Amino acid sequence: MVENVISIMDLRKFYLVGDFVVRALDGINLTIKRGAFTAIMGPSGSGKSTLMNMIGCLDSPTSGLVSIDGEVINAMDEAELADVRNRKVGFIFQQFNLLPKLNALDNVMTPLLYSHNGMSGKERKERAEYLLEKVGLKDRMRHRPSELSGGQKQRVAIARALVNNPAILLADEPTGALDSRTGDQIMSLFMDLNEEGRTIVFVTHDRTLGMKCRSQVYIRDGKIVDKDVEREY
Amino acid sequence: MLKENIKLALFSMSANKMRTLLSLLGIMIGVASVVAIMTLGQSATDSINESLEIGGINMITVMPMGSARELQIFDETFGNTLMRDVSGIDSVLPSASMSANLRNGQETIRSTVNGVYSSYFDVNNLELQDGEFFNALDNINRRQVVVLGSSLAEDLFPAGSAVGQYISIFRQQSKRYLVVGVLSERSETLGNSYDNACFIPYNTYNQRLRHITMPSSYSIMVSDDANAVTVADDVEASLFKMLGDDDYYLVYSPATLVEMSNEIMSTFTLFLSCIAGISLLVGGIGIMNIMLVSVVERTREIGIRKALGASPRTIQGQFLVESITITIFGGIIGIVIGLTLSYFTADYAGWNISISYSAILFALAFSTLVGVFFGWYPALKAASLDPIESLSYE
Ligand SMILES: Nc1ncnc2c1ncn2[C@@H]1O[C@H](COP(=O)(O)OP(=O)(O)O)[C@@H](O)[C@H]1O
Ligand SMILES: [Mg+2]
Repeated sequence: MVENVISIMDLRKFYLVGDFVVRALDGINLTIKRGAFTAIMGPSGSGKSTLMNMIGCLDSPTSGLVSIDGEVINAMDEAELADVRNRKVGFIFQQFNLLPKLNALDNVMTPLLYSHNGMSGKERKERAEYLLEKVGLKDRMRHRPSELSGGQKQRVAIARALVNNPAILLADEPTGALDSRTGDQIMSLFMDLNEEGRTIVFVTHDRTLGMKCRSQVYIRDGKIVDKDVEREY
Repeated sequence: MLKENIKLALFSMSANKMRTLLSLLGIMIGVASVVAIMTLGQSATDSINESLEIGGINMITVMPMGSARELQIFDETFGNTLMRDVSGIDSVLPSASMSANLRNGQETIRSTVNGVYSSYFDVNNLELQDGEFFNALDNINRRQVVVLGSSLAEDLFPAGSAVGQYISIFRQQSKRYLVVGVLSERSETLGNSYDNACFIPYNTYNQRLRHITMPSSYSIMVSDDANAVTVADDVEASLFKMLGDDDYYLVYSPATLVEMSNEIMSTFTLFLSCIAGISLLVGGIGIMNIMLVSVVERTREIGIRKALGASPRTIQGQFLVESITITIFGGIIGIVIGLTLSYFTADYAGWNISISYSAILFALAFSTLVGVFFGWYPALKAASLDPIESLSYE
């Protein structure tokens, strides 16, 4: 097992907007150890989501090196990236991003359909049921997203992110669309998961939430400005 | 995976029922017309051929058209002349016919009396419902025996069995004939009605009824190893050579007509199938259109699926399965409509329906192909969407 689940070296991501080069990420160096619970904090537009997309293999860098659980993703084609995404990464989004036509159970099962792990339909269902029970939605399995509250939707999304037993959970402002009480519940669910040994990268611009994580990384204008120490910004 | 994809396809089809139905209309109409055309074409050909073949596909009839003085070739030597000239002929049987009154007791009926050789019955595939045919000896001895057509027998003998009874045939004077057999009922072949006719030996006819100066027709039996269509052509050529004018004879060959009807039908079917094929093509474009709309509408879904680890190929597969599911669904509806349509049309026309399984198979294969062909581009488009952009698509 690799000790560093995420290793990033001199990562850059530039966008060309008209005549301008937007330096969304501009020389990021970062390692995240197995079992970490890291908050990535910074003002809006600082490059947090772009960094998440890089770690989550949704996008490929302009330059630099990204390695996820021992796999260097730079030279991978789309199909290989999809496979890494499927096996190593569990995404949790601000807007939940559940498939609206599927019920909670089918939503949680979806990533299993894309992994070539030879699970039978029955095993997939059992795995999804187990995780929905774990996030406290045992009695909501047959509900569609439209029939669930925001907090419940995010729990389904967390169960879905966990279903393939990924190396990292990537949460991009997971409480951003929730009221503060529900947000706190979701936060404590993340804390429980980390207690169990799950590696979590948690993007937020909310300082109090960020401080609940075990370590913090601050970024600004695509650069890491500080680690682990709180700063005013 | 395939199961899930089909489930998803059915999901999105049922979520937009009206739209799905409208986009399927082209495929449905196309498939329905292909199936109906091919089935009806087959049914029509089959029933035409069946009625042609009833008189025997290996039989050719030659009818002289004119007076005995003009057409001197049609004498006793004609059969031998023809057989020498044309190969593939087993026998040439002359027959004569005339109108006469037939009577049994109070019943008098006008009918066609045919003077025929005993093998005439066999050559023309005629069957008996009662009694037996007269034989060669009856002919040589010019016996006064008669075989009756089925409805003629019924008219003359309303009370019961005709066989063994006597009837009178009038021609200047009345002569008594023993009924030896009654034919089975037989649906009419072009021009020939057997049910209302009666048959006596050729020599009896010649001797006792009317002297035959020229037979009214010849039944030509084609050898088993010869092609009836070729023989018919050769017979025509030979007659033309002998008479120099095709107004003087008529050659009736069921085999030639069957071949012609098959040719006409297959040309016709091909032509209509082309039109139906065009409507399938238009239907396919409709499918492509709806799939493109669907891809745009489901951009976000595609983004989510990609984030969860779906590879481009997987996404392409999902959308291909969807378009194929839609087109096969349309194809099945089309087949049902086409068969229903054929059933009622065939029923109305009085044909036996011959379901064209090749048409059904063809229609299914074609709908699948349309699904693949017209779903390919939309599916490729879905597969190549950028995951991040798709995720933020509203
Ligand atoms: N597809 C893109 N094209 C152009 N600029 C982009 C694109 N994505 C992000 N950016 C820019 O990169 C910077 C970082 O964005 P982002 O990572 O979304 O910030 P954050 O998530 O911290 O708010 C912003 O200036 C944003 O406008
Ligand atoms: Mg962001």
